[in-house]
Amino acid sequence: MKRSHKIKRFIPFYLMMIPSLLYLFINNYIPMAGLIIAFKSVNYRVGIINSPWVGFKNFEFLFKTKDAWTITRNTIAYNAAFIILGTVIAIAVAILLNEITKRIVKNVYQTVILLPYLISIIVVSYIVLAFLSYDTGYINNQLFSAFGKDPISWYNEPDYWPFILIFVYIWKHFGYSCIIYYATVVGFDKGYYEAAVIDGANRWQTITKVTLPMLTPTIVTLTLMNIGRIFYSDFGLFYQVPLNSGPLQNVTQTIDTYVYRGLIQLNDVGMSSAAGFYQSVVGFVLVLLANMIVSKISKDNALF
Amino acid sequence: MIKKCISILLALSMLLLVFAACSGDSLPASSTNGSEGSNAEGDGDDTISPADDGPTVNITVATFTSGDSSGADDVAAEISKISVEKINVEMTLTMINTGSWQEQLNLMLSSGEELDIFPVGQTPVSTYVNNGQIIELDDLLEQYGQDIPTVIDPMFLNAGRVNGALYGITTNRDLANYYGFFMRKDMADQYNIDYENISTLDELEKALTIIRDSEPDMYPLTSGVGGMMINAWGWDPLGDRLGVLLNSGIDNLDVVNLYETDHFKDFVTRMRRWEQMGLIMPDSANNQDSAEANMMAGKVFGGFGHLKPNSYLTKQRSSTHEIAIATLLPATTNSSNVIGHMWSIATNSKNPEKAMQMLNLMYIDPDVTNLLIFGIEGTHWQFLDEENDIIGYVDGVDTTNTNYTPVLGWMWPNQFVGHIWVGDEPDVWEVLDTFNKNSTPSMALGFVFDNAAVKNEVTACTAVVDKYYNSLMCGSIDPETALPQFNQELKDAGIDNIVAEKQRQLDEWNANNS
Amino acid sequence: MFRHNKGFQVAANIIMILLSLICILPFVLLISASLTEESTLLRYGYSFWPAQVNLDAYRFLLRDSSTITRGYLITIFVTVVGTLSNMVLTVLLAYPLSRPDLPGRNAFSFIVFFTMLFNGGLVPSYIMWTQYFNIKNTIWALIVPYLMLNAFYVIMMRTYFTTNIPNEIIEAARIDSAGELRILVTVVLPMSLPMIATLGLMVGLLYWNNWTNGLYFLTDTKLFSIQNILNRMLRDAQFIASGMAGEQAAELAASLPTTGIRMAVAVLGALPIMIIYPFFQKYFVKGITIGAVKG
Repeated sequence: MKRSHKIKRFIPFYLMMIPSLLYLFINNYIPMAGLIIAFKSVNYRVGIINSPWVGFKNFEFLFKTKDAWTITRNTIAYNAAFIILGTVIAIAVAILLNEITKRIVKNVYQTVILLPYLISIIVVSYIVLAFLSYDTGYINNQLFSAFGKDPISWYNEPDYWPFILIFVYIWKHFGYSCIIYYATVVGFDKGYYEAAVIDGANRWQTITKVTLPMLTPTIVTLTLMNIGRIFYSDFGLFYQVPLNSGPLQNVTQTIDTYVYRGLIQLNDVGMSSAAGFYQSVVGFVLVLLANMIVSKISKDNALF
Repeated sequence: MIKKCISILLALSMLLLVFAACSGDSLPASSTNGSEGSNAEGDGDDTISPADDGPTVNITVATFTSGDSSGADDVAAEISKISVEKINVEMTLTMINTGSWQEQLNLMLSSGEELDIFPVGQTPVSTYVNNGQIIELDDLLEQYGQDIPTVIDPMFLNAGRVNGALYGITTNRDLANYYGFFMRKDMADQYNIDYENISTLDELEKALTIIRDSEPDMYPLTSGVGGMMINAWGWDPLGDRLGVLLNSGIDNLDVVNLYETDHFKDFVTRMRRWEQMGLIMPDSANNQDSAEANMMAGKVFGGFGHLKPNSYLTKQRSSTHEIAIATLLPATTNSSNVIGHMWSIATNSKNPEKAMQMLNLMYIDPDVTNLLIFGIEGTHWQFLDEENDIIGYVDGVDTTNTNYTPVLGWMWPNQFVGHIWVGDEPDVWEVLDTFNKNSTPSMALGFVFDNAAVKNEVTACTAVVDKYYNSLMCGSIDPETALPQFNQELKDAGIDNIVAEKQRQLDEWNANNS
Repeated sequence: MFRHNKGFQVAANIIMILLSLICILPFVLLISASLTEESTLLRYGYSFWPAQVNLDAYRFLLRDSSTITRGYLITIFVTVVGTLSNMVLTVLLAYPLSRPDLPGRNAFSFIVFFTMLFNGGLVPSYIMWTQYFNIKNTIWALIVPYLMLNAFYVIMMRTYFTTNIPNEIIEAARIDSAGELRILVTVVLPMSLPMIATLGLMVGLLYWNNWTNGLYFLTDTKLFSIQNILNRMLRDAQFIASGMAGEQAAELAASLPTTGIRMAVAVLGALPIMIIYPFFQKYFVKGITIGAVKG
């Protein structure tokens, strides 16, 4: 009795969800059947469905290489840096923006910091070249020569590139990421702040004891979602920004660029599908683990 | 948690079944091989069968282009007038921009869309064969494409064979290359560089040193776009440069690992020396602009290139300087050149016989060729000198506002029977044809490597080569340390397996062909 | 409102100015490069002020004004329709998921999130959309596949609803016997303006910057979005400049500033957003204060 009444109460909600769920089913779940391509050697003469199964053969190329560890390490390490640094900077900027009183000034800042996100990564690679080119780049040409330093052949020295790539990524994304945090902070009930001030808290304490804790659900959710993508990388950032330079590959090669470079002649749909499958599975397992940990600590913040 | 996972997996498997059931028909089913199911067309005594009483078949031709080609439908209509009369076939022409071509072609082929004839080459033909995306042409050629061997030299025609069966037909274009150094003629003359008599790298080095000393603001040479100094220097890459034939196989048919040879070592050592001497532009390995663009900006004197008789025209246009060329290696033809661009018939084709007839028409009919390459007379082009077969844009039309951009004549089957655009040499086709036929063919011309058995090694080796090739060829890293490293990594990636497999296939091919 | 610490204000402003400079200087470099003469760029590199101003890049891109205009119109249409559809679908899915007592809440959340992790690849999607839904070479190809609902934004909205909309408000509205949909529209949404604006902005950017749908599903150039058109023009320019376009394009080959065109393409793609964004920003203020309801 009580149970059916309970469900009845929720019918409007289920009805609301139907169009969206239908779209997800069509757009995402039906094509997921294509994951079988990763396990087949596709011959279009007989069609995908009738092509022979080959087990895990399409996955071999990912592991049968000395680079397997390098590319995995690079992918995870960069993503970890992006997640941690990116989140910290985005939150810091969001809070700073919130502090600024004059609306026009605030809007100008917001618009300007979004600019890097709007520029395509290929153009970003040209901007980086404008700074790092050996003979015409701004750094070698203007900066170093002014101080009498020798020019550096940037595109041949791998040591600098982790920092360069992390800087470029953060530069491109912090304006965009901070919007989510900013919108959340703006939506906080001012009552909490008033209560804190009445209790004698100064600015810094307000931030650390009120704002940050209230941001926690957002931070946890976004971080969990990023963990799911931890085996993916931005192709443009790791292939085009370093201008596909050979000597840099030990620090710029990720799973995605390795797959691209290796398969560019082979054009094998089974192997590229296998690579995607591998990336998905690892991300999936990691998110499940992370979500389990989070739900042990605080059930509300878990993703599901 | 486990329950949730199981329910998801169950749902997915149900979806799989649904998908399988529904899509059974839309996915490309087994093709009717050309030789079976041939209708009673009769090979007839004419080269082109007269319009038969069957229904008019629509043949879809898809290819890549640059610039605006929204006028393709009109052109196709004009061609259809001819093709319906001659072979009862209507043509649909789909022109796709080069930037999207590979992606869209793959999708069209994988989804079973209507597609009959298209060019292969950017991806090796053996890949298409292994994926079952194109069909065998031998019987079709014999029955419906009899004219094609009269316009394409058998030496080049047979290059399109994979494991003995014909899968692609090459086009009439520059099928051979000679290797040389192109440079600014004005400066060469100014400093008395006798470019016509430069035939060795040592002599070139002397000339470049003169330039370096006399023009301090300019670099003597740079690489091409993407940091490619030169693609091949006296070797037949046998498809992927993993295992090559030195000296075009004239001395022996040994497949060797190029990167272990002295030939390669000498070249990259010299490049390193040139780089240290200041002859090569810095950061060449990461060059984003072509050598010609750099020449136009006055930054560079010249560069290496694969060349053909009228290459200097192309380079003059893009560098805006007069070009002089020093020939360093004589003209050779290898399989990669010839199969680099061929026309094939897709597995998707519902009517391969008619497709071959259409292809046949495209190879021999001058009207169809001119329509394909240049567009409609009077709308897109007009005669400027009818006697000498020279044409140009219609008044008021130019590259920026035409709706059927006449580029890429070499892409179509037989540009030799077409008109000549103003500005090209009047005898350009004869010269090119002679050039092709007089070049030295590699001993492996006609051999196509099938990499199905060594896919993993190819993947790994390709990645390694990508790491080192450009830097070594541009002299930006020291071969003393880098070359041994390079070779070690290649060995770990399994290059010896690839070389062995290639040698085995080459020997087999050679035995079958002699 | 309570008083703000003066020192904090100054510090915050200084930091923001620095950050803004870091962001805008490269953009200035970009605009300058799009206006610079080609050979100067290749010889002397990029600089913040064009050494030799030259409008050829823009002249080349804008010469066919009807194509560019059509591209912008198509992109605007696709962005508006797509964004609105996406926002509706997202909110309709996120709101119920944010109700803590919804039966099956966790299962549904998982179903949504799972789509972020696994996908079957391009080929199955393409087959489905072109063979069953026949969207190839239609305007819907730019709106419907991939972009109309995204698990990331759904979960983002769900989190916002959970954290920033107190249950008491909703209960109060229910007591007034309002229907759930009515509560969503009249009570919850006005309180969520900042996040709705964020959602609109992000989805809008997603549609505006998207060029892959056009790449996969369109061969009819009349339907190209501005990104597709600009990319194609860049490619054509590079092809002509390489000299391979034959004698037909000889004159053009000499004069096309391909590097400048690259930069100009980027500027033309980004500028419309820059102009529209300020109008968006007024939504980033809090909606109805709830002070009245508490206590």
